[in-house]
Amino acid sequence: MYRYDEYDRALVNERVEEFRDQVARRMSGELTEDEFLPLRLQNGLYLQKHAYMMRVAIPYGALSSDQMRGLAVIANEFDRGYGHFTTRQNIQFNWIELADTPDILAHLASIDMHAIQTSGNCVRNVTTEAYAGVAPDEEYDPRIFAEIIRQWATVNPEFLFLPRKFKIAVSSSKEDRAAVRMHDIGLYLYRDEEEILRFQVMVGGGLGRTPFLNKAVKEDLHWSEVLSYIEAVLRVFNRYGRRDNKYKARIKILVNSLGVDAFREEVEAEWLQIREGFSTLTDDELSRVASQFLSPLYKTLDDTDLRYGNHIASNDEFASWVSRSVKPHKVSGYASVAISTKFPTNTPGDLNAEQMQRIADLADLYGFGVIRIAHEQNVVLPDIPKKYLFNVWSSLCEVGLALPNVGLVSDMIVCPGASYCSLATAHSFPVAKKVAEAYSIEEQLEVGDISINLSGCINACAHHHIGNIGILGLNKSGEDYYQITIGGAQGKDSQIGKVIGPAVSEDALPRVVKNITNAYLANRDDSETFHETFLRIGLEPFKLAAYESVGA
Amino acid sequence: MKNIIHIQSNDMTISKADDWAILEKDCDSLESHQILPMKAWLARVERGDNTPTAVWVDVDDDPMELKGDIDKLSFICIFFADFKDGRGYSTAYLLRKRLNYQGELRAFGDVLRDQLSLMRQCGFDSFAIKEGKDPHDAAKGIKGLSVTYSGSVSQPNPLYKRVRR
Repeated sequence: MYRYDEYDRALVNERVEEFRDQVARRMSGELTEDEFLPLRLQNGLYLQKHAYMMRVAIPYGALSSDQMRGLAVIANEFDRGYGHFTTRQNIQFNWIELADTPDILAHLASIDMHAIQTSGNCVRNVTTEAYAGVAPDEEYDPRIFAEIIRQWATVNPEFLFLPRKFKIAVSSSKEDRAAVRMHDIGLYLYRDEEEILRFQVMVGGGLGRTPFLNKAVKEDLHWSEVLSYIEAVLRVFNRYGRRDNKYKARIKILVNSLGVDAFREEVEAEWLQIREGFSTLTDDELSRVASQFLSPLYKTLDDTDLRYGNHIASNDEFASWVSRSVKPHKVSGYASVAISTKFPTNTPGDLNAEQMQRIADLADLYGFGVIRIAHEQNVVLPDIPKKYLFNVWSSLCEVGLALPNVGLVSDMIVCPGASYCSLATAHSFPVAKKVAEAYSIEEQLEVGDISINLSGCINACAHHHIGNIGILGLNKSGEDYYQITIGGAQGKDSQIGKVIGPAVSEDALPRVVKNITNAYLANRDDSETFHETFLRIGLEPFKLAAYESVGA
Repeated sequence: MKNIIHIQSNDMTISKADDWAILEKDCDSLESHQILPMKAWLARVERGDNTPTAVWVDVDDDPMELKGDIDKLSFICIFFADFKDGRGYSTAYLLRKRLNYQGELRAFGDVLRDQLSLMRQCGFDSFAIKEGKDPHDAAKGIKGLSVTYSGSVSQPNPLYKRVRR
């Protein structure tokens, strides 16, 4: 994985001292809250309902065992013993004191981490997928370009006060597991017929109150021009994006008000002025960054392991976990392990310090010390020899992390909601728990792979628009109500879901969700996924079934 | 204008005020050291009057309209109505890089200590710090971080082309 050199380290350390000074000036009253606000946001600090929340960057979701241990230390020393992993592969600490933040950032810097630009109207953490570098269907390791873009965007002086936040994702595999289509810039990296790396550049995605999937703006961008092209997009956005209304300020609104063709013309005109300039990437720089992401020294292993096979045959619980959590690996004899952080045993995305430490230990014992955070808020050990999977599972069982529900109903993506967030209009965690508890694991296995996303407000942090079943928390005269969308999908065939009808109460929600999955079971052909069934039969059968035996 | 920080070949001077004054709109009898709105200046140039050499650019002005006349100017001020509105950074970039403007480039309005190093990297060499703030204190913000990854107006090469990493 990427290792800091003296320059990365100097930047992060100086940034800590800069913020230490800014915090002191805020606390002495020298800086007003209005002046301090963007400074703290660009250092990851939000003011939430009960306390400050600090969002720490985990670039493209990759971290080392030592970094995970460092996060556990922060959880114990500065928070209430846990942290919350987000859909953009970062971690949030919910109970932070302003005065502690410089020390937290200094601690992060000591483990080569930071919270720079995890919030604010700037380029945020560049994301990929949790299986980057190990997925069998990958064309090129997307982390390499994610890191190159991360460096370019970090404290880039022209683009720190954009009209609104700006999110970039990169994917380079057959299946898009990075939700590329809902990003401000989505990059699909591929090899052309001559094996040259090129990008398909998609611009203008974003969810929130006006959800849009991004649109193709450039089909065949040479890899060396990716920074100049992003620069052109950002300059057009910085100059022409709306600033009069926060809800119309994302680049999606600019793209859709100009129309994608006119937007493309603007970007191309700007790009022609700067391409082949200073931002052009060199072969040397690509090789330098790529060398940081070399595979670990895998052993030559048989793809089948006898002991592993025996454990599966003799232990149903292990077998059930394997069927959900063990993912294919490009190297024979290895697998990736997805660790569920979800209900009923955990709170979605939350890990306590002991669990973080255990995962770090397992990564060191069996998996080259590397860990990933998945968009689904789960944790991944990407490089585990199959012969050790039983050991990993046994150890995870001890800390309540062996839930066999990855990809199932209870593997919901859930935002923190009104329990923490000052924007939220409704609770998320307690209702998600009720939905999860309405299903036995057998019932979930019968439904199979499905994505259920629950957001506590219209800002859509849990991406409810692109969940197969999306749930949006609303507030109707003091009561939490939940609006349901169906037919959302992420990946290359992304789709925004459609609202099925009136919102339902918290008590009715589990029944309604179950009615919907029952309608799927009643209508599916053989191995059809939920989304395939939806595409074939449409919204109507689900709509009819959803409200059965509930007073809506 | 008040609270001025000016940087010239790495030397910084700080003064309480200088002789320059911002004009809200064009007027018939211009005095020296008056800074015209960009659009008003362009209208004068159109009429063949090239005398004033200072303009200010509003947040939503297109600096590219100065193309062709940029050599007539020796002083350009860019207005920041709100420090959170980052259009002025791209305006500065375009003046310096696209129009190759060589004269003094000043930020004025909601100009604060914690943004000065960013402004300087985007090509500003002069700042009229927001009234009520101490320019000597603000000057501490000029330095910024010693490491920058991307190129900028003041340092066109990205880090990996400047140093051996």
